[in-house]
Amino acid sequence: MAASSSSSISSCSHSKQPPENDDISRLAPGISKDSVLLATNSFADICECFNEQCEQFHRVKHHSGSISELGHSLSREGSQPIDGEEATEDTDLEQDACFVIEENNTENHDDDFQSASEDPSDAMSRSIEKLRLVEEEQEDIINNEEWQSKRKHVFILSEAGKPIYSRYGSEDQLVTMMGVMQALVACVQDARDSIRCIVAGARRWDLVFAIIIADKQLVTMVRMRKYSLHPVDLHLILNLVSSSTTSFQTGETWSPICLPKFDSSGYLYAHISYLDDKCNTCMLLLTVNRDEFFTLSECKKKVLERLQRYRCLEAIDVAIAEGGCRVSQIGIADLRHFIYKSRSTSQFVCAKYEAPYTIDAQWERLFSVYQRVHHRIHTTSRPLKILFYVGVHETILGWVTSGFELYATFSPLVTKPVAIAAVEKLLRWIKREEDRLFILKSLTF
Amino acid sequence: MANRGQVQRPAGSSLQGKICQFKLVLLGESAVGKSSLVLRFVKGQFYEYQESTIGAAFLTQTVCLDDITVKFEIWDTAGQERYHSLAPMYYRGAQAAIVVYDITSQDTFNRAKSWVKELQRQANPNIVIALAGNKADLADKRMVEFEDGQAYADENSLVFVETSAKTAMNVNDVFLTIAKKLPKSEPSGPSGGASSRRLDEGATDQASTGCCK
Repeated sequence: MAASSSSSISSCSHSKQPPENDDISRLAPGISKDSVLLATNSFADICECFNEQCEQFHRVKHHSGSISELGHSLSREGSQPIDGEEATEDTDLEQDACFVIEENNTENHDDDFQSASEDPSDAMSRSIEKLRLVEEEQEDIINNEEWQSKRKHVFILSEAGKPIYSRYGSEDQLVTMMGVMQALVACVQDARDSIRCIVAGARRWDLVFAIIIADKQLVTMVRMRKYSLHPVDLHLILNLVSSSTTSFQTGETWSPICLPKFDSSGYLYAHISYLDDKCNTCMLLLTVNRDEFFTLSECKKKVLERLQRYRCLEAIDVAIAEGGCRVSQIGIADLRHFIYKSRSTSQFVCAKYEAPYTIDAQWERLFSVYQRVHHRIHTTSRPLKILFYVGVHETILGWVTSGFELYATFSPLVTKPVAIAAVEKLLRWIKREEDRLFILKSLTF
Repeated sequence: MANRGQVQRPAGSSLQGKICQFKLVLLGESAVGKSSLVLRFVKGQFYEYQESTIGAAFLTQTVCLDDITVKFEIWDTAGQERYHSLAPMYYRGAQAAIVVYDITSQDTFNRAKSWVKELQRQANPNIVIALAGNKADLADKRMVEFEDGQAYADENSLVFVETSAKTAMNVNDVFLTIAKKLPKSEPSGPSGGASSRRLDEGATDQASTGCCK
């Protein structure tokens, strides 16, 4: 690596060898095919997006956006009887975890067995969170396209929730899901009632995105399989949350919100609430249905319960207090600071500012140097892949590949080979820590 | 800080008494003090600089009236004009409304009147409306006379009160007055507020339908 790249690195020149060919760049830490966010190429793209939006704002556009699409599916479902059979016939629903529980338990001959129990969606809502967890754990089988593509599943389980038979897939892989099914049955039995059918898909249509934010950063997101969140839209959400210091803290907020990249022609409705008394962690539940406040309010309670049970909020507090990675902990001599962006996930990691960038004026200056280097690399007339910038106060190595974009800051006297060796080391470190630094798996429903 | 006046927290008494649940919405021009009134009532707090509300905030507060526990589900709406079209979503099915104006601004009083008209035209016909002239602590800057507010309220059968979220004057009273006026014998659910809830309130609705078990 050092040989090929160092020969091609020089101040403001094209690298002849595409760096993609070498081992390190192929590491491309933080790469993911299954990103939570849509991939954008650069900040420039995001600027472009904003300009585009402004133009669209002035043009009257009539198109069927994501919201009308969702609204359509909603109304279509609304007209359908709530019945397991119907739901499984609906091919639009097949992507969601639709299942029919056939209660074959002979001991269960209560009279109310045949009577329609309480609104089955009640039970479903209680279990949405459980199911989501199940999906995380059993991604392999439940997210398996072939398995999903089956129009009708039949599961048989024991009273204790042990899998006995599944029409598709191995029963062993469905242990947890069947456990949830049994929990649902038991839940309703507790109320001296029994489940006849559950419609999983319909309930879930309403929610499009569930987002948890802390310290202006995305903690996690669950999204509808079909829809991804564009970084521009996430920026809007982050700004909305971070720019209001008290208005979301008093209670639960219900507000329309336009995410222009998702659909510039309509509104989503956002349930916004803080999950902790200190107001560190904020959750947004976004739906297309303006009447779902109470559904989502209930949903929030359940999510909160789970997060509390597993002490997640404390973990988030600790992570915020630590405040990102420190270069001094990575143990690369000469490296003062870096910014690394994984392009496929549209996520970046930026080291904490440490000496000599301890006061605001100093890191603002460093940031402006980053801007200069970034601008030079992305000049449209002559874009660069690698730039070794030597300044009075620091030296910056900028490197752009198809997988990532990296800016690393060194002392002003560092030599090219030393800088390159350090960057190699840094990429290996990022690769090692990528699960911690990036959100690589996208949770969908 | 917390001036809770006559609001009694239920503290277990709800088990023996009757529980009524009411949807209440706050409407009024931007910056008249809707959020401050709610915050004073619900949390006993007041902030000199209260941020603009985005969309609407949902809060609950429970008060005890003799042997009845009244639970208010409060929608504190954004006053900015751009949110106007959303208002029906929040007042639909509400059993009570507090229309707020700022006694130091005639414009906000006029806006309050148009909110009252809109409610009379479009809201639940039995809605209990209270007119609240807020910022009563700023009496030296008063632009709307007490009598004007009272006269308008009398004409339209509204509860009228001047309040100060800052000093807590009459804040709890306006909610308690509303609580007393709300019908306790009728079911509080079906008028719309609760009917829009589909799954969460299954149990509570049953408990509170007919209000008093």
